[in-house]
Amino acid sequence: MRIRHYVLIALLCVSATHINAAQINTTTEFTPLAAHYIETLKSRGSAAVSNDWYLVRRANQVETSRNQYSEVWQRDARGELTLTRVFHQDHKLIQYTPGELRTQRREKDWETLNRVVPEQQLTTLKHIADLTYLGRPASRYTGQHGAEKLDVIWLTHEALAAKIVHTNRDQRTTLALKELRPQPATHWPQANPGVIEPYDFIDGADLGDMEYDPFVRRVLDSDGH
Amino acid sequence: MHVFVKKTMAVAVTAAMFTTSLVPAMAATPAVQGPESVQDWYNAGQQFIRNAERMRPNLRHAKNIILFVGDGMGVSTVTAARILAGQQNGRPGEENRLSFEYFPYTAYSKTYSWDQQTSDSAPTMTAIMTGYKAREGMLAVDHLTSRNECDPAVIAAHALPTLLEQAAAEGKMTGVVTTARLTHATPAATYAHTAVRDWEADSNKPAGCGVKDIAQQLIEASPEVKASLHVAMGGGRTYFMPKTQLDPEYNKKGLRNDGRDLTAEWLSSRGADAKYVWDRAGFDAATPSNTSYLLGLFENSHMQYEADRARDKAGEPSLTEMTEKAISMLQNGDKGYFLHVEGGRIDHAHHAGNAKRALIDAIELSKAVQKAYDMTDPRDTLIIVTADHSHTFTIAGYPHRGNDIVGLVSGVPAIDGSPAMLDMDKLGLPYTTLGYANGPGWRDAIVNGAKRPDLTSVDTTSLNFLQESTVPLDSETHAGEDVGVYATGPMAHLVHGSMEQNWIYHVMRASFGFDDERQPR
Repeated sequence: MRIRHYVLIALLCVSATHINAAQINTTTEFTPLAAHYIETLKSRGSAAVSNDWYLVRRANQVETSRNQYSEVWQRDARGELTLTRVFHQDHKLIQYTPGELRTQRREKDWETLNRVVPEQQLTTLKHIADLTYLGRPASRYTGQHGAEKLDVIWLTHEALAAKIVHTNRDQRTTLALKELRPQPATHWPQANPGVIEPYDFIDGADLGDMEYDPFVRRVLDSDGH
Repeated sequence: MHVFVKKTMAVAVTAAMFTTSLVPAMAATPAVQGPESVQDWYNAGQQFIRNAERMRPNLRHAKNIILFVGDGMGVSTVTAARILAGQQNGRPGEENRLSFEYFPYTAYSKTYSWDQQTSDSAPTMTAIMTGYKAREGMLAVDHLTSRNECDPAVIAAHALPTLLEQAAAEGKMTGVVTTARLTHATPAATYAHTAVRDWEADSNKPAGCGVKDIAQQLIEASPEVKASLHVAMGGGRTYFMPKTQLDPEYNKKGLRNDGRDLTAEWLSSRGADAKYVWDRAGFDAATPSNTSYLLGLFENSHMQYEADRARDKAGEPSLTEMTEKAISMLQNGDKGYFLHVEGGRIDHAHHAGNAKRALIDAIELSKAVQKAYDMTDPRDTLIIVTADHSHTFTIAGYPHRGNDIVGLVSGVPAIDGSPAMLDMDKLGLPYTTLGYANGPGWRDAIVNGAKRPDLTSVDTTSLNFLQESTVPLDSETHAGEDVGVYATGPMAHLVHGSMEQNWIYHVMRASFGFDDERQPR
């Protein structure tokens, strides 16, 4: 299940084409916010499958959560990223240093983590309309990427994708903002220090030496296949 | 003998390789050429024989032993690292040698453990340090130990004395240096006894488990080891810190549930001149004249890969610098010393399928060995270099001489005068010389729905490039073939032929003279 949603988000994030760069807030200082999305996968001949997905932007930190799993990306003063993967049910953390992220090619673009959609790909989409979304000024962009259609609603002031619809012949994936708040609601999944401090720590570099561990085995299988 | 062999080998093999080439008497000049003349090959071979005929075993007992372990440094890693190091110096690379490849005595080490065909670092380092093969994941306990054994009395009954402990009992000084966590399996096997290598801090153990965690074992060592262990440097700071304490370098807390600050306990239990350092400045400030016992913990977990070390926030020493510091602190003891040095991150980079980082760390290990060799007297110091296990790392295809070892395969042109071209596979795609039998390097192809990635315009020499793998795994695995053993110094000739890995211990023990009445010099 987890993998399917990784794929969904990856597709949404990767297959965009262009928007006019001038229309995008290109600041690297992102407004702190907490966003609750519904992600939906509809395949031909199958019922739609939906899940909650949360994104919490803080100063130099982006936290995403779904299905008892969180990722916390932190940026230091030099722009170096670290990643903490939080497995709430297992009470485990896997942490990746900047060097380990590079070594394993797990690095991500900080802007994309904050915006959900990579800016470079947004700039290739066509501006269709200005509108409001959840009462906020927004713009809609569409474009074609190969045989796939991409439809994005962009919150201008927040520099955040509010809705991304990615359609091809066999399936449609949708990430739609349901709620936007300054701070996460108390019932949202949390990966703050108070919650994760009791969890067991694993260095991401150690996974290869821990295949005998059932949890690690499960993570490696889940990541790799 | 030792210096002589090294120097003459260097002259014979390296210098002869770079004499001016004769112009080939060929219809067309080959696009790919080595730098050697025809006579160079024969002369180098004759020089090798003359040097070998002069070799005499050093039958003295060692005053000092330095054991280097490249974690996961299999034979293919040594080969590729030597080529990369040579190419970094502007040469074709194949003719190059890493520092320890000049050592006069070599062997193959069989790395299986009592219960593993392909082993992890715990039983392999246990074999090297205790003389006994052991079980998966266990450190310095015999193979009759139960998995997850928590009873300290049972562990004590099955504990195998390590060479470090025996050296300490003989009044020698000791040291442990690694780029991994100081509590990680390889360094831990020198001083800790436990059924589970992952019990590095108390929070890693199950509730009620009475066996001391590994960090605790380092600090609460036996009186002999406590007096002997003058240098312990590596990563793994948070395993020594309580959960209430914030790391000095990162916004992270310690991992200990018991509230103990083991770094403070190091200071309080090792005398007035004991030091604990955690960054470059502290490392530089600690000298043999002002430090009797040095604990260096330079990262909250593993230290940086050598390739990333310059980017470290607080700064940290290289493996070579730590080796130099350790020897400078240990070499003043009257009775000599035992020092273990691990290049711990070769293994991690291989697991990631990242060959270049692994090779750069292997080259750094070679530099550390050179430093140790330069600082010691081969008449009284045995240096052994080996690996605990190998990886599924391969050097394949028919790349031409001097082809970039981290590049795409470009073979020797079939027709002299023709330029070298990239070799193609059955799909018409180029491929790299370096690869893995399994691991994460398959991801790009799968994502794109292709049978193989098209590397035509990919910079495979990039530090972050992941070599392709045949079997799709998220983490590349260890491999079970033999690894090399390289030795020089007293009793180094005992390293020979095909050896069981645990025999390395017996060589070191014999070299120290622990087996007979004669006293070490």
